[in-house]
Amino acid sequence: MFKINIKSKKFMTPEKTENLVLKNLEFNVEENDFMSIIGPSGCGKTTILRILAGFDNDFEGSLEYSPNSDNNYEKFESLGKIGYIPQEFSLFPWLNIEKNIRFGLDIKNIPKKEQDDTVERLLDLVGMTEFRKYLPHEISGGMKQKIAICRALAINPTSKLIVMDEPFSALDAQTRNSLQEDLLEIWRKQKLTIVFVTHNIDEATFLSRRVLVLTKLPAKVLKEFNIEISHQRDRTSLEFNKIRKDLLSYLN
Amino acid sequence: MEKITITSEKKPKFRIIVNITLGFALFIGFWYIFVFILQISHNGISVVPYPHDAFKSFFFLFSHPYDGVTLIEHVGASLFRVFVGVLYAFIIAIPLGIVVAINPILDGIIKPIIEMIRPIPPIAWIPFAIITFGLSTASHAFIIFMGAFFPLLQNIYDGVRQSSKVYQDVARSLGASRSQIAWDVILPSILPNIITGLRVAIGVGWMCVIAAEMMGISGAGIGYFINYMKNIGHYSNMVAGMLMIAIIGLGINGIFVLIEKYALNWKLNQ
Ligand SMILES: Nc1ncnc2c1ncn2[C@@H]1O[C@H](COP(=O)(O)OP(=O)(O)OP(=O)(O)O)[C@@H](O)[C@H]1O
Ligand SMILES: [Mg+2]
Repeated sequence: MFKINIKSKKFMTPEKTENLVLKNLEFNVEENDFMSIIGPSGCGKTTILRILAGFDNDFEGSLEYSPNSDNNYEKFESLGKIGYIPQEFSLFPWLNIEKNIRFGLDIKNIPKKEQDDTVERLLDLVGMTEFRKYLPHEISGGMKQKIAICRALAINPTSKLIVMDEPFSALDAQTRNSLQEDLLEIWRKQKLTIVFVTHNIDEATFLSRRVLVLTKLPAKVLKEFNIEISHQRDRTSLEFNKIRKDLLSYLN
Repeated sequence: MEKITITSEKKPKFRIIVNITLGFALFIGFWYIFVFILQISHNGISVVPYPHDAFKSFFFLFSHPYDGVTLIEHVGASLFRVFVGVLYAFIIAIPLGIVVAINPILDGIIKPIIEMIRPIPPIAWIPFAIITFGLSTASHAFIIFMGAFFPLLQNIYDGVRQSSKVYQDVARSLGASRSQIAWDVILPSILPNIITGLRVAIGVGWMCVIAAEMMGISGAGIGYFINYMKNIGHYSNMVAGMLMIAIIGLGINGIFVLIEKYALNWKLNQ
């Protein structure tokens, strides 16, 4: 389990004043969780994710991890140990699909044979085996994000944690819906733990087990929702729309 | 109503060949007319040779050395100087460009120096080169260096500056160290800028070497040859030398087109 406690996170504005973005923000991420973070635009969602991913150490607070559920928490260094999927398409454009997936293994000098097996398994997982030699510009946006997930999974992240910052927002609605289903399938099959930032209430309702609703700046947790309905959710069902309405009422 | 046909983007090969031939024929035609007009206005004497005379000299010079030196040897001497000058520029500009683009303090210190030296045209360095390095390859290389260095530096600097932060973030999240990010992310992502920089650098270097040779730094090189032929009044040889420069320029360009097509395929289609 991961324990995130951000006491305060400030940025400097161009006018050299302090901008307090996050204050007393606390939450846990459990094994095999699917947690979404929603909140008003500019409330600090990306900032949270960058702290979680280990890019930003300039904050007051702590990032802790306990391998078992025995409350033995230790400080956690995320870089190289959790998967990160940014909003923009992020495949290295000069490497083909296969080499993109290999990147994290290559820099760790993992033996070739082991790399091959991992690449094979992940390409198979997303059903893209025949695209291995393609360059990123030769595949669709949806495919790019699937390969980005493979690349993140290749390094075998701690607790299979992947953090995603609006990963589907650059896709059209139809691709987006089908990718949401693909993501759930991967999540289920691989027992992933996912922290998912989105603007989209429908997306959060469709995907998550838990939803964190944040307040405006400085952001803290306004409300934590558990979504009890089982996956294979029907976007048109009454239950689904009720949850959506609830979320919406908190956002406004 | 007339039907409008939309021609496809990719022209067929023969069409390209026809276009090139047509353009070439047009050029030769104008050349003839130009020389003809010169002749009329100068009582039947033209100092500029007709195309056929120039081409005859051109092919003749391939197999017949002039003063013991063939045209190819002159070209070789010039190309070697360009190679040396550009090589030095390359070796210095790549690390400097990367470091300056990444480090704001160094940027602040080095930028002003660069901006001060850059406006001096490379050719204005010729007298300086002669008094410093004498009449040597080093002299030529220095002048070419002064021409090639700045475009290379600028391209690399811009490349690093524009190199997407996202790729660096992803690499970090996958566990890449600083040096791995530099080698495996920044370097490949600025490869197109390096190639563009080199293309410009070699172009400028080629101009500089010819100018330097014409200023008489040495007794070899295509620039020297052209100038020498002018001085002794052998104008068809002079123009043949110019033709040689054109052909080398085309060749260099062709090499870069190929590099971009095969090595930078990902960039062109982005
Ligand atoms: N590098 C930075 N320097 C200064 N201020 C920053 C920086 N990054 C973010 N901020 C500020 O922090 C606040 C939160 O930004 P953040 O990008 O985390 O919001 P967000 O919730 O992800 O927004 P969006 O919904 O638009 O993606 C904003 O007010 C922003 O101006
Ligand atoms: Mg954001």
